[in-house]
Amino acid sequence: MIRPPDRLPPPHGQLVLGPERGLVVVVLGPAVRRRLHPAEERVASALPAARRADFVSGRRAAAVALGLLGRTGPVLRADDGRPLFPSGVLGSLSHCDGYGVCAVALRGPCPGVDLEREGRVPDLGLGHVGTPDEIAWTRQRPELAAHRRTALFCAKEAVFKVRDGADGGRRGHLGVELLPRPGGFAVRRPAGLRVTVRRFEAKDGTGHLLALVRGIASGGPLGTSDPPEDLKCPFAQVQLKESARERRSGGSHSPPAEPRVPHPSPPAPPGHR
Amino acid sequence: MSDITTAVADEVRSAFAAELALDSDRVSLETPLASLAGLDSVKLLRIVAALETEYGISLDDDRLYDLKQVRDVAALVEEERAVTSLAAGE
Repeated sequence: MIRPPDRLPPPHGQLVLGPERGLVVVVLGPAVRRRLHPAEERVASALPAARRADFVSGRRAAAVALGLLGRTGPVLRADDGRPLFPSGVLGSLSHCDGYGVCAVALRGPCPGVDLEREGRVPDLGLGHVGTPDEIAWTRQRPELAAHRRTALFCAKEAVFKVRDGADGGRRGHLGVELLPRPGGFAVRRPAGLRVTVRRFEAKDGTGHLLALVRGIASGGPLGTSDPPEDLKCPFAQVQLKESARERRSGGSHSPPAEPRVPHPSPPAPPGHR
Repeated sequence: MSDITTAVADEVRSAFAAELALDSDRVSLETPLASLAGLDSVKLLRIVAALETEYGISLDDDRLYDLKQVRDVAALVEEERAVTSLAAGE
């Protein structure tokens, strides 16, 4: 079996997940340098300095993702912070630790994506995130608790990005209820969505979780008959690219993934459900 | 809105500073949350959890989505402290 990548792209690299049914997800390393669209540059320059880096990392990932669909930006910004994708493109952005993530599709339903560093979601604050059943699930196995808290939070953040078509439905983690499933969650409320959660490790071993949600109409990515501890990758094709500079440096990161993984079935990371 | 005591203001500013690895004098009640580098939804949740633990309170989940400034967090803490004290018959 070809082992799919379970590492975030190196700082100068990019990870492309998909396309599957017209969906592309791009994770871009923090050191990737790409020029923004002039309209995006204007938006960036008007943002508070504290928000600018996040804006830039997301738009860089968006430029790559749009390019893979044969489209171009800009991806502008609504007053409430929502990304405004070009006409005919449905998309979602996230960022964490300098990594930018973008999921785009040319037909519905809209994808939602979120990236979080594992272990940062505190147990004490979980009452603001999870329902009693969800909290009980995170505490069922203490050795998995930090992972499960992050998975729960990350999945809900991704759901917020598709509810009402955008972040307009963001209010209230408790308005979304998830049912743990192999490789992610089914959404009990609002019903009909499924969330895939995939774990990556950064070069330093730090775990990051990537949550992706699409409407069930696109074909649910989750298996239903898998062993509970198996993690099914929903993405049909995985491609890891790195910059020429990274290659010249001798590739200090872990080896890139195989270019094609038709139906990868990665081993469950330690502590991953 | 409840008055914000100096003690709560300092505690809230310290909570933000600790989570974001800033000097607390760089965080004032008037600081917009959008201007705090590195502040994201998880870090805000961690700050809220730390304050709830410190004061033995539970902040109103709905209002956590309306926070614009550090002052809003401090006001929420003060209001919840008042409600909690009232409920305890203090």
